[in-house]
Amino acid sequence: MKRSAELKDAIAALWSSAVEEQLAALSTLASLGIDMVDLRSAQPALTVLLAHPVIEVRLAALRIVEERADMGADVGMAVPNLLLLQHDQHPEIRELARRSLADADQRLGGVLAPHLAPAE
Amino acid sequence: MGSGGEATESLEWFGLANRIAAGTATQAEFDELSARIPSLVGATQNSALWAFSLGARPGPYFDLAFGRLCNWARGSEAELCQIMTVVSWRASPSLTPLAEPLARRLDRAEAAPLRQAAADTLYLAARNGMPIAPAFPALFEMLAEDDNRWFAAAFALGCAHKNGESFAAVADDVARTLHVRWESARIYLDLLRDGFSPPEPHKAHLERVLTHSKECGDAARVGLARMLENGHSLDDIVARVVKGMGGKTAKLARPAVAAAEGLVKAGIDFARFAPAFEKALSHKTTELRQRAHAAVAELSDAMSADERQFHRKGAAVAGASELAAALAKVRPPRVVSPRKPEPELEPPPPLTQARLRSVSRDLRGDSGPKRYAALAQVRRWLTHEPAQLASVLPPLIDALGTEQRCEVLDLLASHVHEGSSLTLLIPVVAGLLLDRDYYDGSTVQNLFKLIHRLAVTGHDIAPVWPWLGACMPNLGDTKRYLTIVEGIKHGLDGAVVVDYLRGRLVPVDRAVTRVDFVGYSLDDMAEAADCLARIARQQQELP
Repeated sequence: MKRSAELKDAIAALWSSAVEEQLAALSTLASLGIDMVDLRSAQPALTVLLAHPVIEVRLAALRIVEERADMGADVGMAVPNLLLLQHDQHPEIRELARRSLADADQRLGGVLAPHLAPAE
Repeated sequence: MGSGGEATESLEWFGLANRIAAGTATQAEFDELSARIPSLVGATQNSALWAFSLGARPGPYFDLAFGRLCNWARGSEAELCQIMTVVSWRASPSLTPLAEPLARRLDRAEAAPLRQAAADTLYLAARNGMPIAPAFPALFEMLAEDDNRWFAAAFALGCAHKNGESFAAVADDVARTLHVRWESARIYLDLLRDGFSPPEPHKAHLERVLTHSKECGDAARVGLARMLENGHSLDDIVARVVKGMGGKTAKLARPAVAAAEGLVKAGIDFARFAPAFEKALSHKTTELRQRAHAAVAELSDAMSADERQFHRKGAAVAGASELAAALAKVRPPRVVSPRKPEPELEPPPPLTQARLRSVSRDLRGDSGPKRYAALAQVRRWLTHEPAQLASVLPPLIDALGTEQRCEVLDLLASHVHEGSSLTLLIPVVAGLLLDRDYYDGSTVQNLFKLIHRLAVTGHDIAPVWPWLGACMPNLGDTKRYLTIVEGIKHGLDGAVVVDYLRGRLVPVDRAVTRVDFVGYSLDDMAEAADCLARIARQQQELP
């Protein structure tokens, strides 16, 4: 499937060392996601950003992952980092991570159940 | 995770297995274990059999274990399958006497499933290096039935032959089954190479396979040549062949032409077949004429120039013009041109920022061929300079989200090295075990190849560890077992993979599976059982 140049540029910018560029790229991806663009090819970089030291980057990446999980897309690749985010210091991150994991668990047939943190 | 109770029970069996291996279990415990096995089923039975099999090695439990195995050998098909499992895992010369009671179950009087199970057991024993000489006569008896159902008997004999067992005592059985299977032919050829002289009764068996191709035909030619050297007469065979070559139809005469060719190769004088060859060369059917020409050309090639001249003149004097003409044709020797040496690969151009940008663009692009080309370029760079992995890692991680995931995993598995910084990669790899996009057999194999490589190069695989069993449990199992062994060595808690390993201990259905695949499945079970034994040891050592 042919992907837009916007999507490809955004994926490349996710690897930038400047946080502003990463946030701009995440914002582009979020709007592409709203337009129902297939973001599968961005999933590896999004997975990496879920472990980013800057909260805003983590949160923006997580919002996209959660959106995809909610729409029934396969976010299995992000699961190990999502499990870590269940214990993040930021409450919104914890909540979004839990919601994404609940969606992913449904898709994976319950294998995540023993690893899910209880709701707050 | 599955049921904790079953996992705990499984580990208890492996705890006992560890004590049996160390010789610290009591004889009563071992006896109780072996008595319980027939009443168990599935993975539990195989867990118990693993523990039992450790006692079937030379050591304090051997007599008890051997007695039990002999009892099973007289029992039902299920009990024979228990022996099959044990000998697959612990085949050794000390278990050779077991071949005798197993051989008795090959008898025609036994039910077909029992004969099948006994033959399968002997095959798997031989395949794992156990000498099975006491069963040779019964196996050849089974082979002589020429029934496709008993191919395991031929497999067993073939393995025993590969293992270097001697067949001199059963040479007659080998000869009478020459026409049934190539295993017998190979064994016979080896006997001949070792100086065996075929007795007169073997002549009929050798004649029967004279026209066969490959090993059977070779065995006949070498065997008949040896008989000639030892003064046996082959006149009766020659007379039958000459008569056969005069057959009216090609169907009748063709085997005789092939036999004549074989006999000349065995050492019979070509002149004895000259009139018969002349007839065949002028036969009314093209098919036989072509076959006869091919045979004469083959024999002519093997003759010296003088010999060829002698037979040509003889044929001309006897009025055999077709034969004389055929012998006059000299085929040019076949020239084999030497293979050109492979051109040496030039070193890749240095990895500049511009080249890296271009390759990254291709790896993230839409064009599959461009992605392949970029991967090839990266492979060359990494082969030349492994330290470049860090700079190409981001586009490679992105390419894991494309249809080239399988190739990227393979590339990473080949170039991950000790000390490479892979903190970004490892959580993604862990996630791939749960991801179902671009998911096929080769991808899973390469994924486990990479994970194993990460483990042996000293990278922390803790993020991957809980998901090792979650991904397609029948693919990439060998690498997965090796990874589990590495993980346990590095102190990762084996309890999380017990359910996966226990799931691998389920036997295949023998009714619908070829015996060699049954063997592979038992090998696979042995690896899973070995991992479980390590985990049981780890759990015992944990505070």
